[in-house]
Order: sequence, then structure tokens, then C-alpha cells
Amino acid sequence: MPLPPDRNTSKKPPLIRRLYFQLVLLGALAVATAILLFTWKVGNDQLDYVLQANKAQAQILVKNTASAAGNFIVINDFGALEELLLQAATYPDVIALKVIDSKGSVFGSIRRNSQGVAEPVYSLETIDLPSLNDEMVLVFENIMEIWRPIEQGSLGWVQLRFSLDSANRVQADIWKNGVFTAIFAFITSVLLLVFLLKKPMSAIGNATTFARGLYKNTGKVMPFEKSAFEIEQLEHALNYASNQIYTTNKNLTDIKLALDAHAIVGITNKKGKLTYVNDKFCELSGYRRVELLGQGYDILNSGLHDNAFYQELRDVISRGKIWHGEMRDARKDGSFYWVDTTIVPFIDKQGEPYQYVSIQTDITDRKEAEKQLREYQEQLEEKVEERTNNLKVANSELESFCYSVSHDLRAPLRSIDGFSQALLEDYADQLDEQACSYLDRVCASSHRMGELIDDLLKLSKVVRSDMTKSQVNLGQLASRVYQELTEREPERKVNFSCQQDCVVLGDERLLLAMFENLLGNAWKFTSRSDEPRVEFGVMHEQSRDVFFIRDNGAGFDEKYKHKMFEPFQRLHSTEDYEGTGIGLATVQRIVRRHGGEVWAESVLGSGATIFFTLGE
Amino acid sequence: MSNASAKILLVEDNKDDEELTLRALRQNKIGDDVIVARDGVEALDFLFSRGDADVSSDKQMPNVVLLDLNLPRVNGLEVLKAMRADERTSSLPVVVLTSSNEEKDIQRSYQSGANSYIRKPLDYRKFVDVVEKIGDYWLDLNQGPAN
Repeated sequence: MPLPPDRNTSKKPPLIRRLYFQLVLLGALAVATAILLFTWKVGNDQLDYVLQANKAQAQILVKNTASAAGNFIVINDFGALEELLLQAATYPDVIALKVIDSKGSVFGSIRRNSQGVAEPVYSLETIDLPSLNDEMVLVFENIMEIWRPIEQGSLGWVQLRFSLDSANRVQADIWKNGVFTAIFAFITSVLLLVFLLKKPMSAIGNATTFARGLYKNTGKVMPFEKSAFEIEQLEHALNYASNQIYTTNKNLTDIKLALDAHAIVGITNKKGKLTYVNDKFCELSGYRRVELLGQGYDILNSGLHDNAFYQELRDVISRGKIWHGEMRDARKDGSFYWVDTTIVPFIDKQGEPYQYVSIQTDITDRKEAEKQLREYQEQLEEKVEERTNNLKVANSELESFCYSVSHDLRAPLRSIDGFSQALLEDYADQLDEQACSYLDRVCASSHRMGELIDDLLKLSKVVRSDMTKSQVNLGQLASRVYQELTEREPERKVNFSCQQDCVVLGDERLLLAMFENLLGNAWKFTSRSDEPRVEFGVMHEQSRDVFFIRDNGAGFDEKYKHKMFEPFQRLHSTEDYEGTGIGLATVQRIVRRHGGEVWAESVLGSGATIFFTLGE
Repeated sequence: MSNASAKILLVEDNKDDEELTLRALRQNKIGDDVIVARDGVEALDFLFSRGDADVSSDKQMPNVVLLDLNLPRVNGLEVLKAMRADERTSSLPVVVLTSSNEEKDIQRSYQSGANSYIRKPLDYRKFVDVVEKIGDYWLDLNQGPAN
């Protein structure tokens, strides 16, 4: 974010000085204007009052003069008249006083000269008389002229010219005082306001300066100044704002710090030019900051991604949407690195992106590991395929081997047995007892060899055959095998108890072979017991089913129990109990192919128990 | 190989087996009616009167063919298929007599048209019993197809 330029660093900005000046001037002018308005009002009132008083005085003077002058006119005493007029002129405001006869000739006249002294005027002049026989008052600029008829005008008229200067002087005095007072009040107000406003103004100035400095987010708090309550409130508000801004900014700064510690951060403007890169950016790309600023991201293009890739990116972010993806960039030295990238457009008030912030994480190691893993996987698959093929070949070889065993090993046995038999039959007269017995042994051995081959083939079939799993009822299988055994040797009486309803998932053919071996063994080894007993059952142990076949037959020595599941291992002699020693090995193969295990317990002479599980 | 009125064609490559089988047949009094082929080619030559085999026109087909599976040159199954493909032998009874008891062999034999499948017992005395039963059944009891 570009910071607002710090244009005004003066202690008291002009705005505050102007406000200060305006407030002082306005206050002083208001006081002065009020005084002047008062002066105007008082002056006018005083003028009216003085004028009325002057008028009344002048009217009385004219009236008295008129009544006295009447007598002097009648007796034609001009001297007394002049004396009267001069006496009347003792009023300083009288400018001139004339007595005029009824024909308009001036009878007597006095006038105040330029020295202010009243003197008689002697002149023969004629004046136009008013038409009405009544007192008449005329006011000119500074003069009031009053006409008064003497004896209803029959004897003549008195004309008084009265100066209004005194009234005007009173008004002028009032104005003079008023203006003086106004000027004095103005100056006093200015001084007073300058003094009174100094503190609040300085507080406002400080608050403004402080507010201007808030963007620096230093978390500073204003010192409180004892000034107006409102300004204190302003200071409170500013301090609160400052604190909030500081906290918010501190959070932002901390987040930025955390971000910078983890990620590669770059900011581009609207045109896609870098305006900010953090240290990690420089560190990873190998460029210095000055080399990056002003450049576009294409400076890092490694040439791996096509134009469509970058076009899609630009389309997404120019629509104001966040873009996320992985890309390979090139360092200054030309080597490559992978970054997991999120580009967040910053949107202005018009809804348009004005800058783009890209946050990236170096995933070069991961990419490398992924690549290696893919290679390993491919190699592994190849290997598995190779081994599977090898196994198939081995299996088919084993199969043909078993096939030829079953044929080619049996053929000579048949010959041995057949010709021995032929010798016994065709040359019986030439053979002594010993020779016959030897030939019998040859036959018996070849029979036994035949059985061994057959059992061995069965075992190999168990290993090779495909498993076809289905729901198998073990109880039914066991009963079936028991049935077959009793049919084979109906003269034997064996007490058989069988747990029904043991349903498992398995290959029925193999499980049948397993029971044939297990029950066959039990059947065989109980042949010398007094009350032969065979039992098939199930126990629940450690959340799994453990099946068992128990007999009270010959049992075996537990010392050798680790051997009993190996092929051709027998714990009894063939004379005692016949068998090839392959049965339990076959059982073990079948159980293991079902994912289970098999083990045995016994006390020699009192029976054996074979336990087995069948996986899940 | 020149017995024109043989009742049994024995196809067997193993000399010991041949000797023992013939002995068993003799013991059951049917030794004279047997003709032996030592491999598949010989068997087919005999049946179809080819090569140096008998070319007499009034040649009689045997009552039954005892066929081993493991034969040099042309094996037993191929012989069986060839017989079933030819109208002269398509209904001739064939008993597969072999040492194999592989499921696969049994299945293929029947699929190829065998009438019976018998595993040679290892015990010679049992084998003699088996041969007797074969003779009784196929030469006496069984009503073969009209030639």
C-alpha cells in the first residue's frame, strides 16, 4: 500500500491558524458591531428627544415673543421690540428672529453674527407670509423655522430661525463615544480571545497533527492537555482510534511477518508488474530486489507451462477470483524450482482488481520426491510384472512337473509290481519261501510309493488350485466326511459329536479336503481306543472363531509338535498307523490359504486336538 | 498287427505296460483277440488302413479301443479326435486307459468323445481285475454299433 505523502510537517498547520484568526476576528467584530448598533439606536433616540425639547422651547419662545411683540407693534415702540428680540436671542440656539407686519414688511429683525453675538438687522425687505393663520414649523437641514401669527395675523407674524446644531452635536458626541468604545472593545476582544482560544486551538492543532500521524501506526498516545471538554473528548476518541489502529496494524504486521517467514510473497500491480517482493522471493529466485521490482512474473518463466496455462491464470485473477496451482519457475542462474501458488486479487471499491498478491511455497523437494516415487512405482510395476511372469512360468513348470510325476513315476512302479506279481504267479514252483517274501516286499513298497506320489500330488494341487470362496457350513462338511468314513469301515463304532451352523467364507473343495485329512487322522488314531470319541467344535477366543477337532486316540509327544505339519513327517510308525505324513501338511496349506493358522495340543496316549482358524 | 479279426485295439507305447496288459488279457482268456499299436500314428494307420497296415477290404473294426493318453508322435487325445472326425470310427467305443487321474485329462477325454475313462491301478492284482471287467463289459455285455 502506498503511503499518503506527508505534505505538511509544520507544527501548527495553516488550517488551524486560519480558524484561530477567523474565530478571534469574528468574536471581536461581533462585540464591536453590537456596540455600534447600540450607539446608533441611542444616538437616534437622543436626537429625537433633543429635537422635541428644542422644538417645544422654540415654540414657547415664539409664542412669548409674539404676544409681547403684539403690544410693541400696537404702540409702535421699535426700541422695546428690539430689546425684546435681543433678549429672546439670549438663547444660544436662536439664529435669527424677525417680526413682520401683516403686509409682509419686516418690522424688526435680529441675527446672530459669525462671532455668535446677536445683533439687530436693519433692512427694508418684504417677505411672503404663510397663507394659513396658524403656527407653522418648518425644519431644514440644521435649522428649524417657526412662524407664529400675532393676533391671528392681524398685526403680523414672528419668524424664528432656530439652530439644531446642539441636537446634532449630542448625536455626534454619542457616535464619537460609541465608535471609540467599539474600537476599544474590538481590541480588548481580540486580545481576550487570542488568550482564551490559545489553549483549545493548540490542542486542536496537536490533535490534528496527531491524527495526521496515525497512519504511522506507532501506537503513540496523545498527552492530555487541560482544555475544553469537547477537545478532551476528541483526544479520547483519537487515542482510542490510535490504539485500535495500532492493534489492527500490529496484527497485520504480525501476520505479514508470519507469512514472510513461511511463504514467498510478491505483489504485482494492475499491469502485472512487481511492486513488492519479500526476502524469500529474492532468496529463492536468485534475483536482487531491484532486479525484480517493475518486472512481470514472466522473468521467472521456466518454459514448462504453455501459454494456455498462463492465460487461464490471468483470466481467473482478472475476474477477481483466487487462482491456485503449482508451477515451475526458473532462477536467475537458469535452474528450476517448483512453487505451490495462490494468487489473490485485491479488489477496489469499483469491484476491479487493483493489485495481485501471490503467496507461494517452495515444493521443489516434494515434486522431486513425487517424480522419484513415480519412477519407483513404474520400476516396481515392471518388477512385479516380471516376477508375476516368472511365477506363472514357475507355476506352469510345476504343473507339468507334477503331471509327469503322476505318469512317469507310476509307470515303472506298475512294472515293478506287475512283474513281481508275474514272477510270483508264473514261477511259484521255482521260488522258495524267502524269495516269495522278498517279492511281496517289493510289491508292498511299490504300493506305498504309489500312495506317496498320490498324496504329494494332492498337496501340490492344494497349493496350486484357484480359490473359489463361498459360504461354507463347516458342520455339514464334517458330518459328510464322518458319514463317508463310517461307510468305508462300518464295523467301527466311533462317537462323533459335531457343532452345526459354523458358516465361514472359504473354498468348499479345499475345506472338504482339510476335513478328510483331519477327521481321517482322528478316525485312524482312535482305532485302538476303547470308546473312541471324535468331536468337531468352535470356541470364541480374542474376537475370533477357533475351530477344533478333538479325539481320544493315541495322541502324540508334544516335543515333536513343531514337526508334525511338515510333509513326510510322521510321529508314529507305519506299522502302528498307516499313512504318508502328508495329511497335516496339506491341512496347514489349506488353512494358510484361507489366511488362518493351525496348531495342535496333545497328551501322549490320551488324545489330540487340532485347532485352526480361517482368517477374517 | 496283422490280426484282421481283432476285438481289441490296444494303443500303448510302454513295452512293460503292453506286456502286463497282454498278460492280464491272456489270464482272462482274451489275449488272442488283441492288436497293439505303439503310438498314435500306428493306431490311426491301422484304423484307416493306411501305410503298411493291412489293406484287406473286408477288414473288421475292433469292438473296443484301449487308448493311452501319453503317446509319442500323435498323442491319445489327437487319436480320439481324429477317430471321431472320421465316419468309419466316429461311433467306435474308446476306453481311455491311463495312469493319469488329472481332472483336466478326464474332462478333455470325455469332451473329445471317450466312452469311458479308467485309471490304471498300481497294484497289478487290481489291474488284472480291471482288465477282466473291461473284457466282460465291452466284449460281452456291451452292444456295439453295427459295422
